[in-house]
Amino acid sequence: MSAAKTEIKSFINFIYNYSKDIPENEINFIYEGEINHQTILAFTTLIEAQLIKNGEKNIVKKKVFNILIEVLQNIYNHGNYLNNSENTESGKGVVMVNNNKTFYKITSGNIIKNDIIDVIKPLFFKINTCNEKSIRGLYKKQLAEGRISAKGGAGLGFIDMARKSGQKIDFDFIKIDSKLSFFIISFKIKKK
Amino acid sequence: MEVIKIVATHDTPNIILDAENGIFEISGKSLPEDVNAFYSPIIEWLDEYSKSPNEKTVIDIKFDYLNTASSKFLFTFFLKLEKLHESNENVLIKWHFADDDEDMQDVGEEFADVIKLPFEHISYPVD
Repeated sequence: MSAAKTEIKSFINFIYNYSKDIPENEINFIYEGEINHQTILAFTTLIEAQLIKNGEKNIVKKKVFNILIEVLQNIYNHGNYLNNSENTESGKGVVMVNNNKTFYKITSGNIIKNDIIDVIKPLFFKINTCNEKSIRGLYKKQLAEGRISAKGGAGLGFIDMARKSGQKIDFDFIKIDSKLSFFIISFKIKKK
Repeated sequence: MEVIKIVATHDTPNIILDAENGIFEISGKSLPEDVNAFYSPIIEWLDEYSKSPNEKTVIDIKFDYLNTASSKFLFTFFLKLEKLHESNENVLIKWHFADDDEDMQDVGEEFADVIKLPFEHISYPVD
């Protein structure tokens, strides 16, 4: 086992550090493990109840709900296992939702194959140069790609989440070995 | 023509496709576990319908939540309607959104920008 692998063996501790960039926050939810369709529905129901309890506006509730589902579905579809990256019925990853007076923050982490980084990293840089108007342009362009090829529209989910968040996305890739990395992405949603 | 009636669940929308009565509606939440399995009968139905469409095809779409995979399906659905509209110029999409849901409003406007179909954007009040 490489040093890097040992270092981030406990992904949950690692992700926990990502809660600290919004001061005086409370953690709504933190989870590490398998994610399948049933857990996605359970987690979103749980968060929805908390948002209602916190008296958040509809639009804030919908944004948090939307982004949370999307990150969970990403893990479900793409989250690899360290020892078993073959076909599985679920994905494995880490998810955290926390909030303070100003923001909700949704952070997810999962293992990905290194070759995917070259595809998604430029997209994240591009997203982060966008303003409100140009990100809509990017979304439409990506949506229209679906006209050309069946595989078109890749990355649409990330663009959509960034657009709904309205904030810059934070992301990081921690190399595990020559094949795999731990991928972290987080989205903030402003309480209005 | 077969009538499609699917009752909404916590992760799939309500769907009515009834050519005889001219009712075409999709509403609710859409985050199915397997988007292709859920929506392929809808695409098949539309292919069949397009062979002998009604004089007018007005489709009411009222999503409360739509995940990205479902948006991609919807895009495919609209592309097929676009073809139908090219031949009979008689398709209209009524895009309904809650008046406090600017994101769902945006989704409708963006579809309208990239799809060559007439869209009517209609807001409804939330309780």
